[in-house]
Amino acid sequence: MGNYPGVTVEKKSGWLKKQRIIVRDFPGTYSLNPKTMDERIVSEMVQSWRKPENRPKAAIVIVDATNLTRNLYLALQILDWQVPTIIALNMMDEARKQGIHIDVDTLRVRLNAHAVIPTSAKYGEGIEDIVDAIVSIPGDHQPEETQPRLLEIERFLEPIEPLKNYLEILYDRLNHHPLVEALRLLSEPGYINYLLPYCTVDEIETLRGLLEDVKNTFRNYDIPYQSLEQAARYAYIDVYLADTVHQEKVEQKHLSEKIDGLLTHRVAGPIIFIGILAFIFNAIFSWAQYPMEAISYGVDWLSVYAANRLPDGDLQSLIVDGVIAGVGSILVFFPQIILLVFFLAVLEDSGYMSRMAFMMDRFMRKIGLHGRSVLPLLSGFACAIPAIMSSRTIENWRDRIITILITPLMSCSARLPVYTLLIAAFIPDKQILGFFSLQGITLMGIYFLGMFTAIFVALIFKNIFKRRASNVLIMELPPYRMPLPQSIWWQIYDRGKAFLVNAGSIILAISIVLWFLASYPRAENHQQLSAKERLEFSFAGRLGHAIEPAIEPLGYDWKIGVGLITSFAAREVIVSTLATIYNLENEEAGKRSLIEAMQADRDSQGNPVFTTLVAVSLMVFFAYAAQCMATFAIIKRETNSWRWPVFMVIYMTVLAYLASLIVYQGGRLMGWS
Amino acid sequence: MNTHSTLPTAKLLNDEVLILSDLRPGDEAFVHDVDVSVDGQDRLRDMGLINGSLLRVIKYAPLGDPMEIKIRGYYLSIRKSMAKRIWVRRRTREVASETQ
Repeated sequence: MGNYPGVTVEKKSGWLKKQRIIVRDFPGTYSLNPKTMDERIVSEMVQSWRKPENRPKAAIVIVDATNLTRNLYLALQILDWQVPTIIALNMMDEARKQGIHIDVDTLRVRLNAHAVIPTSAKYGEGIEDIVDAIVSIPGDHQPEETQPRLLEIERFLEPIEPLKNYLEILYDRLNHHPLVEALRLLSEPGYINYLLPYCTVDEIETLRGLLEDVKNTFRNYDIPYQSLEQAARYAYIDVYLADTVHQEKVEQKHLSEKIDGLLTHRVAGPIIFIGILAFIFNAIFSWAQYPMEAISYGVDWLSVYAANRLPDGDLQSLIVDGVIAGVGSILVFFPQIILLVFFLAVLEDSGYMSRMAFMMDRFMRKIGLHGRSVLPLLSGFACAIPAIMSSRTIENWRDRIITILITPLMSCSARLPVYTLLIAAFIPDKQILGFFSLQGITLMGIYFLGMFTAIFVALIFKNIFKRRASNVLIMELPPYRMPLPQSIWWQIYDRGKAFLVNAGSIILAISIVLWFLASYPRAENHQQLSAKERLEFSFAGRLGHAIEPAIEPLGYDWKIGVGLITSFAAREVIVSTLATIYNLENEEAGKRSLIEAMQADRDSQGNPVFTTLVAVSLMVFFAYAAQCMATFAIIKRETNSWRWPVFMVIYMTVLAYLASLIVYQGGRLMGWS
Repeated sequence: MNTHSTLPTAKLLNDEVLILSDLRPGDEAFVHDVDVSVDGQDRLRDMGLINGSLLRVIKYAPLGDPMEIKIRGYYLSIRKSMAKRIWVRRRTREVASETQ
């Protein structure tokens, strides 16, 4: 169990090397009284320990050694469940640097934990010790019965007594300290529901009656019964455990505060915030240029090589025009996606992301969101899937559902290939102010379009949903840290792998299907027809023509129509679709790059198919349209309802169509064609 | 430790008792009490903001809300609407010099 909220939002399992032991990683939490969906996963798991067969061999509580007293609260709650517990004092390297000394042995004895182990995830310190500690636990080990880890509770015991005694009778089924159980019943309104599976209806009724009596007694004495557990636990920590930690006076800690003073400064803070975003968008466009050209060159070489080695015919056409053109056109965008994920990972791991939430909370609340919506929305620039999952840290239902619904409006990395292709082909490569390129500005503009629309849509939803907004923000601001290279690497690896797997499976499959649809059926006079006529005769051509009347007002021809159909599964597929279509269409013209082919394409009147206006209209369509099956599936899962994903697709598609219509028709009226 | 459901003004309780949102950056204070009827108070207590804890106000966000406090060695941000339901006693110079 980690203890940094928001980092892990679901449980993950793995086998321990060379041992028959399963390790499960749970989301971080501050206590077993859950406030959000990710925290609920932890408390439900702990509640399952009431059944002996669900008890783990050991519970590992990972606490932050630089901030031990606050972190021990969760550890005490876990320890009182009487499972063998190992406390990992993580970030020990950092603690030592800050001059913090922890008397590990005394802490272990006073906590009565199975083991207390200093660790450092950064340097891999203590991992072996944890494994040894787990292995050393005998198979059927039960920790000795201990008193609950509470202090200064005696004077409140008398009113609780009847409730506690009744819970004592149920102990063999509840398997949890009667006194702790009583305190939890007093503090958490819905806690009694956890007991339903273990008690009869009559027993629950008795418990409810006793609980009400205890509450009334406390009310008469004006004692805040809701907070008895926290007071008693922190008394235990402050009185009994705090002296195992010693801190030398070190000034270094204030460095983080000084950085913070600048980064969240009244004036400088927002300027730096916008500057960082501008820098990231500019970097994605300019830094990725050379690796992208290299990949593009490699793909071209491969396609020439394959064309020369394979005999002319359907197989050559399938490999060159279907597979290599389709998959290759997507691989080119790999460097940009890696860069974007890299920047987002650095922002989060350095601690700056929570400052963004801190600075933006007031604004977010005005538009019906929450400071915590900032992380999902910014992660949405990488991919809506993890972004929507990270909205689990938002406790209020309304704040969360609005965040989920507008996250897909943030331009994700799958749109990047579409934008960059269209920008590179149809936006002039000019410098503005001698610093920013017009292409970079256009890219930033289309991202801002998504952001501002998200704000606007949030405002509308705010007025549609009648449910109350949350007035609570309780957010820890972690100290600024140098991001761990391993952690950044894993985030890049995860997203990069997902992209490549997608390219190797879905996009490969769609490329092959498309090649088939674009090659068959063949007309009887196949040989006499030009490539273009052949394509129009094929399934793909007919399909594109069928929807042409609907998309013509947006400025799109039937080839873009085919792209729109195929890209409904995943946005980036339109690039490979166009690549496949143009490779087929321009067979006799020799192999040209997709950009050149698009620039050169002419309709039957000899006018260009793509103009700058069409490109802009198409980018706007992609900024708004809900073309991602995975997002649909994740919203279904996260909201546990079909209503929200269906609603998202409808509102985004309508928005995309209308906006592109306005852009194209408006542009024509203004004389740009 | 009384009248938990109503919102007493500082003057009624004690001259020394203030509400947290009245403190300025740099001010240090002990938590006197947290209104148990306010949403999220249980989480604040889980995180160690309990009666008697020492806190320091670090700053207010650029837009004036939320505020950032330091408590138990870590930094926490809460909205002013919540800080209005937290009563504190200012840490005086005398107390400060005794403990340092």
